[in-house]
Amino acid sequence: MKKFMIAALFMLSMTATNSFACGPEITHNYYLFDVTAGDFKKNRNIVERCDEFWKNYTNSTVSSYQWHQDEIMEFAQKKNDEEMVGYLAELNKYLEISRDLGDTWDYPTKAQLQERQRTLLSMATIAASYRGTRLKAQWALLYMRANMVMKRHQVNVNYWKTTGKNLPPSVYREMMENIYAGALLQTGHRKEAINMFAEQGDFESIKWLLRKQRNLQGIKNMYASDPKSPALVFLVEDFVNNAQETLDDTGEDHVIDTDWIKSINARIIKKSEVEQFKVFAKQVIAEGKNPYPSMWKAAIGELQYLYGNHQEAVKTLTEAMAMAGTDRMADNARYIRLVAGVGANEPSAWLAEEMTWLLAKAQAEGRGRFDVDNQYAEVFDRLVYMELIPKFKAANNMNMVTGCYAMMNSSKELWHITEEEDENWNAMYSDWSGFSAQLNEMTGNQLVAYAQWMKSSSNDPLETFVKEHSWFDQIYFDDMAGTHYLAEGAFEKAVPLLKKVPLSFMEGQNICYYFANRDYTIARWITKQSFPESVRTDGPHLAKLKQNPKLKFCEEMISLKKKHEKAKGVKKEQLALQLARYYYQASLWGDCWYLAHYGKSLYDEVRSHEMDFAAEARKLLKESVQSEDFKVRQESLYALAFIPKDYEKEMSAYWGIDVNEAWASALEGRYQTDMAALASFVKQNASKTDSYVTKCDILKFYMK
Amino acid sequence: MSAFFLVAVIFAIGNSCRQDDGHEACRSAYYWSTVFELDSQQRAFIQKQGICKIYLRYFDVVMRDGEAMPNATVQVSATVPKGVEIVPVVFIVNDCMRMAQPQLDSLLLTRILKMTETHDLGPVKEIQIDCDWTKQTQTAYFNMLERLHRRAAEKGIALSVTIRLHQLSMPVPPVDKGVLMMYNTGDITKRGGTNAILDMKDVEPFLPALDDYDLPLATAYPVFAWKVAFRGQHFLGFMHADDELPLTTGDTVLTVAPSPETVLKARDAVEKVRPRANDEMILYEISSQNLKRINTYHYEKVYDCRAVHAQHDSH
Repeated sequence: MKKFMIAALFMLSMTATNSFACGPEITHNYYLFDVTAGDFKKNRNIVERCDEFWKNYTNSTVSSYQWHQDEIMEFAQKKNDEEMVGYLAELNKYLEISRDLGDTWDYPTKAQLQERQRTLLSMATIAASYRGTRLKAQWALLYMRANMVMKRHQVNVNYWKTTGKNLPPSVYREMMENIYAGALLQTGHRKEAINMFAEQGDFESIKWLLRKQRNLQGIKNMYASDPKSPALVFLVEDFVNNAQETLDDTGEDHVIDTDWIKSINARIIKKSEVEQFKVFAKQVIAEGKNPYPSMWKAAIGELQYLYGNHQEAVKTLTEAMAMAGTDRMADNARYIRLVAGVGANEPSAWLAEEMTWLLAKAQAEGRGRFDVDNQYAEVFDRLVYMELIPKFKAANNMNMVTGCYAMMNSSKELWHITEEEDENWNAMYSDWSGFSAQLNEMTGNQLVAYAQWMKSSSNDPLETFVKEHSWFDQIYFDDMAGTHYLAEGAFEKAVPLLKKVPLSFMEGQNICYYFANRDYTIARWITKQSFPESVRTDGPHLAKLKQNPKLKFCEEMISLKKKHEKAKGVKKEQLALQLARYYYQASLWGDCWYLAHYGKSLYDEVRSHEMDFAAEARKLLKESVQSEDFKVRQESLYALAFIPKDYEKEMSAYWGIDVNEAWASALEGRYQTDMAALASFVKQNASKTDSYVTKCDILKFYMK
Repeated sequence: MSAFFLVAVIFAIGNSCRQDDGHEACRSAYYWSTVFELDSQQRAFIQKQGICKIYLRYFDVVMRDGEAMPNATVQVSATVPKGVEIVPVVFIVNDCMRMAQPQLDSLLLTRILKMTETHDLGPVKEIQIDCDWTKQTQTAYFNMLERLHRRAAEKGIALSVTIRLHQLSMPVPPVDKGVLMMYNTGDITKRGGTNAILDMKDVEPFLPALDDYDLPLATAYPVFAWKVAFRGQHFLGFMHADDELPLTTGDTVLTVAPSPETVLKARDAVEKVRPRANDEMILYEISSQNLKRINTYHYEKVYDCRAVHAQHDSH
């Protein structure tokens, strides 16, 4: 089952993009086994099917009954549809009573209870007296609903047998049948009720009724009492999915997350029970009493896959596909076989062919990839994230890893969905997508290689499949690779790529306002560049650019570094200070963080492939602080006292409960060295020291 | 031989103990089902045993979507037997008290009074709160009780709470009365241990704290049984119906019930340490199944026990 956990965010800023350093933890452990669809879910979408009736009735004026009760009544009244008006009046009374039945803090008075009973009795009488044909099913349903609330369960049992079941098939008759199943339960016919709920696909009811049978022994007992029981379909599916859940929630220390399993109403199914189930399932297939050997065989196959026996699983699931069962059961066996096939090292062509089939099935469901009801899409998700990506990572095939992430982030190429791009949402830069997170971790070289790989043709069918279903934009990758080279300090490599990026592309980024309105040449330790709150800073096309600031930065850095290398004496120290200013501004903590990143967060850290610009600045300042030039020495001392040595420690202390004390403690390291040096300098040069130094409150506090 | 012999013995002894000091004893019972209906057997029991109070579970309070909400409200289908006082009881799931519940006292009282009025269960002289509170939830729970106590007192209603044995060594809740639960003393999931419903080995360690417990007390004694299933030593679960659990050959279904002797021993032990706690004895609980089961007790044994007990009393 998919866990969707969103960590609590403590965002300092989301200034440029909706980029989250501490984003959602999305896992992809969807349940594979799903045989209760199709024939076993015939009464799903009850509300939608009812709403369809009202949509037709009102000529598409309304889309649902729940929200348009009054409008539908008005519509019927305007049409002088007295038959409908009469029905709606009673239906609305019933719905009102239903709403009041739940446990709330309010409680009805005696008069209200009596009135409710009178209304229900009258409703049942009116419903029973309907002699028309047009709304026969609706009135029959209302009759049973009224009886259900009055707990006249035996009346409902009799009514279904004599009247309800003889009505033509409709969504209303399905609802009546569901009430009948409930009435059977209430009148002591538990077994029949369970089978009926199973046939109707009412698995919520079954889950509750069979809550203590959800294990192998429950399956065995159910089979022994009725080998054809439809409830077995639920129990087997539940068993296999619980086995999956148990494995998914078992840590490396072999400890099962029982709290989570309990919280989602799953059951722990351990290996010993799985092994016994496999033996029992083989017995069931051999006995030939259950109509769905395909389901039992597929269950064995998935359990083999879950416990790492991938090749055996593929063989078993292939056999399952050919066995008797519903169409969905055959599909179920086939997509689990595909998932198992990755670990079984099935050939690339086979994988591509099966993925093409699965994708077509997912698309045929007619819903988007985020729809949790699209089992085929969920299996595709699990296949890619939990099988293909780890496999390619293990093989160090970075292009396929990135391609897979790209494919899963490609609404148009994969799902043919054209998403309207939110103008404040540069989706392709968001850490919410695995793709962007993957790109963030790649070096400039890897990005260049990936872009070249995406453009090349391949003889490998799976590679071709991935490329065909993945979004790609050359300019995007020129910009990103150039930016990553910049972040790595490889300015020479960045320049040719950044030169290819048009300004219009840069203006389309959420951080374009920063591009145009901040200046990396200003020393961050002297001036903080901020914008008035009234100015909109985040979003595309908020500024017109005259030049690419990243390109300008790289070119200037190349030039400065060369000059610094050659220079001597004060000139060299001046250049070191200037370089330190630029590096620090481009660092995660500078005002010009947008040069090397697409967003900013409190939790940003220097990535493994990046140069630590702040550390580089400190290194250069250690050089410039030796200068005999008063201004250079003064600014260098001040900058060294300004730049934290340990950002993580200082920032976490800053956000701590006792800000002052904890922060002071974190600052202690700096106090003893850099602040001490600055204080000593100020004491010695009190008359000459610039005001930006003397007005520093932390320095004042220190010098007290 | 009376069908309600055990009960009669408990009550009779209870009465005899208090005849000397002039305190009026009260026979009470809990009713804990989701439907309040009294069949002829239950009505006969109430009349024959002179039950004067029924502690009726009105509803539970559970956390739903982050809010404390009523749940499993009793469906009232019976009229109250003549001369019987109904004490509304609300079971609050301890989780609800993991946060402050500033509105809960008002919501509880309003709903209890509305239910009472709707179903003619009044007048309400006492309400009872049942909660398995812990150190972690004590503050929120006690704060809520304090407010509820004040509100109830304004309407002339007393507030009582249930007290589990282990809670005797914890701070005393700010209410008028406690009902000492002399049941669920052991661990039902352990096979072959003490009797999980009532075992004196489990009770005795807590008894010293009873004497000094600074709250007027009544005591509730068990007349119920559990059917539980084990596979070897592994606890499978409770069985409310024969097919509720998937059993296989070799599984064991045990009926756990306190013996009449143990109930009497428990009653005696309370009598010894704090006699006034037996002024009001409450049976847990008088569902029709329990009353039927009481009939199946080995009455001879009960009789012997009574004989021994009576002899002991006469000394």
